[in-house]
Amino acid sequence: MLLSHSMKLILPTLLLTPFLLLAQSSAPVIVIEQTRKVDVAISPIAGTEGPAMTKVLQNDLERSGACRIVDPATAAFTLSGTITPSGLAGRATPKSGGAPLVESSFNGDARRATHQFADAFIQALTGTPGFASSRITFASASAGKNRKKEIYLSDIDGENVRQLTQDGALGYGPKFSPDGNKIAYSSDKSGYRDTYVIDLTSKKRSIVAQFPGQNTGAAFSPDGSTLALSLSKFGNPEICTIPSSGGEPTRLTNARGTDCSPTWSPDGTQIAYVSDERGSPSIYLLPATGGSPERINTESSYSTEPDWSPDGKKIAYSISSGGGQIGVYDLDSKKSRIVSRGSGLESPSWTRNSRHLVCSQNGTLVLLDSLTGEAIKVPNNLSRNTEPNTTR
Amino acid sequence: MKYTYLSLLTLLAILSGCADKDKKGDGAAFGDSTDNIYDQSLPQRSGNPDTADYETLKADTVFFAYDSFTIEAKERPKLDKLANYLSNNANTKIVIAGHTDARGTPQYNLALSEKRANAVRQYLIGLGSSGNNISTVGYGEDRPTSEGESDSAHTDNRRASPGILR
Repeated sequence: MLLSHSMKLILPTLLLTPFLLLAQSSAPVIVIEQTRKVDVAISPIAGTEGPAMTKVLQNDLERSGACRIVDPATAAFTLSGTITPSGLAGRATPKSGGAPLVESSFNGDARRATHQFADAFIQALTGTPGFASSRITFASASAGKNRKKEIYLSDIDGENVRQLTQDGALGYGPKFSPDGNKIAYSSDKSGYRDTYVIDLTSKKRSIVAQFPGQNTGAAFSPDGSTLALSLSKFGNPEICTIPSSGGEPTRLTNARGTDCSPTWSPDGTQIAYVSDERGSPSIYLLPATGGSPERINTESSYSTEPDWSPDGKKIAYSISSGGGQIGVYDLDSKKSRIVSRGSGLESPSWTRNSRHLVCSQNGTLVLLDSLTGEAIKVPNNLSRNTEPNTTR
Repeated sequence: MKYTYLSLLTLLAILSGCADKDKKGDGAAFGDSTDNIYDQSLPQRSGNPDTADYETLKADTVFFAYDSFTIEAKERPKLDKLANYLSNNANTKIVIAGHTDARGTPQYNLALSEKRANAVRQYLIGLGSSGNNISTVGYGEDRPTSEGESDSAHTDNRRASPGILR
């Protein structure tokens, strides 16, 4: 995190007087204490798309979990902006007057520029990256016994849905590359389950793993050079790594059971994955170059789908108890907790702030706040949405 | 380690009734210290499992308990029959398609379904069938024979189905 331990101790004071330090540095001025929210007002954004973008900005700020939208009279900050030919000129002004917290131009179409304005404000306010400009990729299935699952892309607020594949097959587990420009996923469009990488920039797709048996669950390493995935060419699904453009595998596990769903630590030194080596599926940690697996205690007999947080401190996972809930394991304290309410939740994927997770819930995508348990829909017109993954 | 290896080998020999059938997996290429007798490396792919004939051998479909890839005793006569079919049709290539019920998460169900298919394949190899003629594929929970969340639907769907590749 950006703040030292000693800084954190004085944060409650800072929260009460958020603008005193503004002129001194670009360091974060507030860290939101758990679920505390800052009162923010939005002046209607100017320009032809202004009214629509005002709503986009309000939605972004509410979803951040860091803001409460209030009347300008009581707001600690007021955000204003103008749609320009190149994007949006935005400004966040403290109630006290003084230097703006944000005063900048954001490029791109109006929607993208508005998301970037929201992220810049959240970053300045909390010291933690905003995720409004993130995108998600996921699978969506047709109905019936002979269903197909295609891969989709959308903004994290559910807008701009694009269907990426028309394979007429079962697409699974799309995962972004670290720069967000590529998506790895698996499909049985050849009849067997291969791993493909879609390049979103060139709009080309290549097969990167087509070994005998199954090639599934590929996840890019933080430097983008390597994919960790589950290969069954040995007769058993095992965790392996391959170069991200394809190549010979390096085998990391050797277990009698089923090993799948690798996720990388942000420093690239470790991989968390699922194994049922000791009975029901559990989460294990392994050095990314191979070594002895270590089981982590998630206090649940059926834990799958680990996702390592961008700040490196936590691993989110799905648990089967309660009809499908999301757990979070803290690597420092070695403690786990359930962070969701309700049931039917699975496939957690951390957003940039290491607080919110995009999950699927009974076929709908939701944004889950791991601090409050609140889940907000990520609306789209598709059914049976599964396995969302978020850009970092 | 040696002792464990030998005792596992003996166990497999007893289970399969065939002591000479142990084959090294591709895993050996990554160092003999990681030798694993459970590995029966998979053959190069042939045919297309999606268009295989799953009707002819339908009666030999093997069913599994929840979250298990163990071949239960009551299912073994089907595999004796299937091994017999394979020995009488030495040029026929088959695929074992593994499936799970609708519970659980997508990636684990994919892997578990593949594992079920692999377990059937290994059992057939133990009975003397040629591993080169047996491919595997896992469909996770996405090719149910029964839809819905009832116990009977779950029971129907936890299966490994032999298909003739064409």
